[in-house]
Amino acid sequence: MAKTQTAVGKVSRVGGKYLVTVGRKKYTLPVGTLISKELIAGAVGQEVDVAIANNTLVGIIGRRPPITCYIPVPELLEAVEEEVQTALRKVYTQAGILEG
Amino acid sequence: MSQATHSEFKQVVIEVTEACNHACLHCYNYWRPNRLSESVVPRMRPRGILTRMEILRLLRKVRRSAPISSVAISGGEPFLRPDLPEIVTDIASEGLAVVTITNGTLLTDSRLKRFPPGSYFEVTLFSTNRETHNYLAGRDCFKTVVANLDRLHSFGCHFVLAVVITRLNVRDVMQTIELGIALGARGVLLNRVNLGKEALPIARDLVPCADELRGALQEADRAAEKYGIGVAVSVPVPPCVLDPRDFPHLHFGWCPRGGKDAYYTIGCTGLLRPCNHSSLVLGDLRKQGFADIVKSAKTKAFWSPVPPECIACTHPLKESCAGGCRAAARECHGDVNKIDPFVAFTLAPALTEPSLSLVRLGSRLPSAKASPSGAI
Repeated sequence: MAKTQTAVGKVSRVGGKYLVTVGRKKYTLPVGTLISKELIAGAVGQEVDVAIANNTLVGIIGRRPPITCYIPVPELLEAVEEEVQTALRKVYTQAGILEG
Repeated sequence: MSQATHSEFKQVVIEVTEACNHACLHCYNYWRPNRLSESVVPRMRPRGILTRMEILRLLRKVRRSAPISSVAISGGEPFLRPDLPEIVTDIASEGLAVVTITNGTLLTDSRLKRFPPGSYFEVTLFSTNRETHNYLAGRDCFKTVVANLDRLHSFGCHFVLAVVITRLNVRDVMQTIELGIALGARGVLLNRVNLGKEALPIARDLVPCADELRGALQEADRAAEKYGIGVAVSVPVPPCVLDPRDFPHLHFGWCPRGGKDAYYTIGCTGLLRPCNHSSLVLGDLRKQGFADIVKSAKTKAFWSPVPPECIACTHPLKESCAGGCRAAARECHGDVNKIDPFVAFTLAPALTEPSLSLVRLGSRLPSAKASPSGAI
């Protein structure tokens, strides 16, 4: 199996085609078979992680997977404000549960 | 809730192994031996376990008839498979979102660096109290899990915290969420214990009563509002036990009952089941088409029943609930038409303390030591 590399690309739509631009290179997305049109239409204008093997784009790596065990809640996946995390980290470090 | 056509399903669960290095008291996996007498279960690989390539092949087969966009990897403990990072990479390379459900004990550097960047994990943490976590997990692992969660971000990985609520940790919810945030959790799944056949004899000790559960959800609601973290009560709580509308900051989920949000589960030998909680084999995905299995009479018969006790229910959320978890009813009572056993135990009079039946061999009940809380 070819070694797969990952990179960040930006999704765009030109005419009826969906493209991902990685650096200076544009890849046409094979919409329909492996990548659903509905999924990719929602990602236009956004940066996505892509998988590239043998100079061919082989897939888009979802960045916000829904949680499927048991009920998907995509809106759940948001990082908490850094100050809040830092403050709680201090509390639980002082309590001896986390290491400083 | 109406059953979806196969062309609407968005996700599947794949169990990559039945082996597990935990012996959780509440474990519902039907293949588990008696958990009170075995602390660790180094189960042998069952015959015919799917290879990495077969997993990919089956997923492609499912995608030919269903537009799934995400996959949850589960087990057993998925990290017991040495090729797990490559399995996840394969699936992600197909353009699918992947989340790996794990107990967090085996998240070593050598494994994590082989995962695709931005990988998501769902990691179980029962409590901030080491004894409680270890007691529920059946082994001394609290420190390892916390240390591993603390290193996830350095590999560009993310996690959501999964907390299973039982009578033993029902008072630890706020602290556990706080610890999760401190470690970088991007969300919390608050799963009330879901009973399986093996856990039924100790259900009175495991299932919190309605008041205890209400207290835990109030704490979670407060945490969600205070810290701005998403908290989902993922395993449905029937509204006759608690009304979800009393907890405005929590997301409540319902069993999709074969609807478009259903998460059909592919076992580690390719057998397809209605969900990860159920032992009911609907078909063999290696030999049958996904669409043929999910639209079969056997599948329909599993999702359709509403327990007789629930038919006259007048609660506004009756349609969403539809009698609670069908899988738990079937696993515990052998009958999918029975009421979710969680309802009966939750509404039963509260016991004052967990009984002696819970004492594991060579172990003891955890003490009710307080953890830091509400400090900011």
